[in-house]
Amino acid sequence: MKNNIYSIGIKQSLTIIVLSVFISLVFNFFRSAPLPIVGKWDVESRLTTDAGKSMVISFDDAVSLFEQNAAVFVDARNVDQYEYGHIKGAISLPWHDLQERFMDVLPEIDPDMPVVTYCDGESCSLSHDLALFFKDMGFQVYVLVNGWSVWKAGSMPVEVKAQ
Amino acid sequence: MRKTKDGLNIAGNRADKVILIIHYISRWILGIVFIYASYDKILYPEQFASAVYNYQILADILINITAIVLPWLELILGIFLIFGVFVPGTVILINFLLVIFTTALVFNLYRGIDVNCGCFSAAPGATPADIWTVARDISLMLFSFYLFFYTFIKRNDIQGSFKKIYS
Repeated sequence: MKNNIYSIGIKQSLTIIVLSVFISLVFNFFRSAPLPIVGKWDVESRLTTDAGKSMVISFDDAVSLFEQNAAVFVDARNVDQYEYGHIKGAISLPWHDLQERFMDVLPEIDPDMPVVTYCDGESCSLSHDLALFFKDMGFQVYVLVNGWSVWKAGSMPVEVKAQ
Repeated sequence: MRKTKDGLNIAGNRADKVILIIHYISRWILGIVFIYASYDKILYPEQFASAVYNYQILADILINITAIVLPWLELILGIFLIFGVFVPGTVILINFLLVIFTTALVFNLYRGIDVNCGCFSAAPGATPADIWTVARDISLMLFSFYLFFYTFIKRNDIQGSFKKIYS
């Protein structure tokens, strides 16, 4: 009997999984905007707007904006990471505190300048989410992919926490 | 010996009754939590897909299918738990999912990746994952382990109560 209950359990688990897959696919199929079964999650696709325009800025272009003081750099990582080290002059606006922090940060952002958002890591999506938010607010916005790492690697000016 | 409406046999024994009451409480709590967790994700699969992506654990090809199927799996498991349908199967899957969810959370907290939990709301920025999210998952696991223990491991040792349970 003891072995039996396990095999019953496993058979039932498989039945439940098959049922879920079936119901969810049918439901998804009849949604007004079905989610594609296989999505495009590579960096390029994620940073392309619905209009087909890429928001990615190259390191060199970001550097030239920085040197001409012609863009506002916004750090999308959390406050600890920002305090530990960030691009010189960058404003901290953690994606997770967006609602609380945005109104405080807004006066520091010149609306005539483009915004460059960044976080850290090739697949970090905080800067991307933040960029879409700025775009909806009417800003011209770019994403510097893997920003913190490439900035350090390029020996560009940073502000780091005093040890 | 008395038979409850979903076919459980209860011996008169008080210990068995306590076991059974906790069993029902666990099923109801987990059932409600799973149904509640599925709701927002079923409505907004795109946002949930982003949450899944942000965990950076699954291969890109598996992200959308997970975002489509997982919320429905949670809903069905929640309903089955509450109504006592396929209990052994449901208990296996609930345990499996909670272990996976908690591991994924702990793994990303350890890696220092700032993930949106995506646990109850799919909305970005709604609930950052932190140590409390892990604590909540672990407390849910206590209930699911309890169910697993008395559904599989201790099943034959208790007097009568679970002999004919759910099969």
